Amino acid sequence: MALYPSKRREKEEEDAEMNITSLMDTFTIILVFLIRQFGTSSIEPAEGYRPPIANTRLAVDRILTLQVKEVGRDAVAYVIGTKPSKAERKDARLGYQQLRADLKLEKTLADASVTDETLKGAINIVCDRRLTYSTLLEVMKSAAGAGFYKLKLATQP
Amino acid sequence: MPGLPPSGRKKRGKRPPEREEKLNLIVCMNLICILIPALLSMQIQDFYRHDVELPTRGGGGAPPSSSAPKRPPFNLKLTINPDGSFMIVNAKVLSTADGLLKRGPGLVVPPLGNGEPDLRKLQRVLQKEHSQRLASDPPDAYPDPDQITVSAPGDVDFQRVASTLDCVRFEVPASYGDWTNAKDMFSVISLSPGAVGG
Repeated sequence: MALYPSKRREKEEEDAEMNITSLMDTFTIILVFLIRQFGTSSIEPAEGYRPPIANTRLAVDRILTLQVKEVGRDAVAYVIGTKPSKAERKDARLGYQQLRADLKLEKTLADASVTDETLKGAINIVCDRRLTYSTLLEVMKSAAGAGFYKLKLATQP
Repeated sequence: MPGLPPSGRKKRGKRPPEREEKLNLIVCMNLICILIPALLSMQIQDFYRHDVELPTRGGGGAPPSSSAPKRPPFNLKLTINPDGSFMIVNAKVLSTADGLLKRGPGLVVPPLGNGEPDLRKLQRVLQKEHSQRLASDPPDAYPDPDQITVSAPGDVDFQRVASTLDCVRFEVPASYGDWTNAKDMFSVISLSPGAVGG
C-alpha cells in the first residue's frame, strides 16, 4: 500500500536542489581573472618605444622584456621589465656596461619566474624601429653578456 | 515622526506566508560557461617575435661523434646594403639565371626601380637555395642546414632589418598577405656586425 509522504518530507524534497552558489562563486572569480588577462599583453611598450612592423607570426612569450630606444649619438634609454627608464652613453671600449649590469641583476629572478626550461636565458627585446643596426648589436651583446642568449626581437603586425 | 499606519489590506484577514523566491542562477551559469571558453580562446596577440642570436666563435667544443655532420657547413651569408640591394654569399644553387647580379664574392638582389629593397625576390631566391641545396643529403649531414648569417652597415635602421628577417625566416606564403601559416625556412639567424665577404 502506497503511503503519502508527509508534508515535511514533501517540503524537504522540494528544497533538495543542487547548491550551485559555490560553483557560481568559483566561476565568477575565474571570469574576472580572465577578463583582467584579456586586455593585457605580454609586452607593455613604454611611451616612445615603437617596435618595427613585421610579418612574423611567432608569438611572444611571457618573459623579461627589455625596451631600448636611441636618445642621441651612441646613447640609449632603456626599460627593463616594469622598472623605471634609464639612459646610458656607450663606452667606446666596453659598450653599454650599466645595461649589462642591470640585466645581470634581473637574470636570476627572470629564470626563476619561468617554468619552461626552454625559456631560461630568454629575453624579449623591444627596440624602437628607428634604432640603428650597430646599436641593436651592442644591446644584444649586453644582453648576452648578462646571460641572456636567447634573444627575441619583438615586432608588431 | 510617527510611523505610518499599517495598510488596511494587512489588517484584513490572514495572508498566506510568502514563499522565498529563489534566484534563477541557471541563466547566469550558462552565460559564464559560454564566456569562459570564449575568453580563453580569444587571447589578444599584438606582438610577435624574431628569434636571433649573436655569431659564435669556433663552433663549440663538442667532441666528434658518429652522428656528427660529415659535410662542411654551408656558411650562407646575407648582407643588407644601404642602397636597397642584398648580397648573398656562399649560395650553392643560385646563379645569375635567377635574376641576380654577380658582384664581388657573391650574388646581388638588385633593388626595385624606386630604390626600395626587393623583398619578394629575396624571399623567393632564398627559398630556392634552402629547398634545393641539400640535394639528396639528409639535413643532419650538414652542421647548419637552417642557419644564415645576416649583416648590415651600422646605420641601417631596425625596421629594414626586421623586414629582411621576415623574408629570411619564412617561405613565401601561399597568399602573400597571410603569413600565419608560412612555412619555416632559415630558423637559426645570426646577426653579425659589418658587411660579410667570402
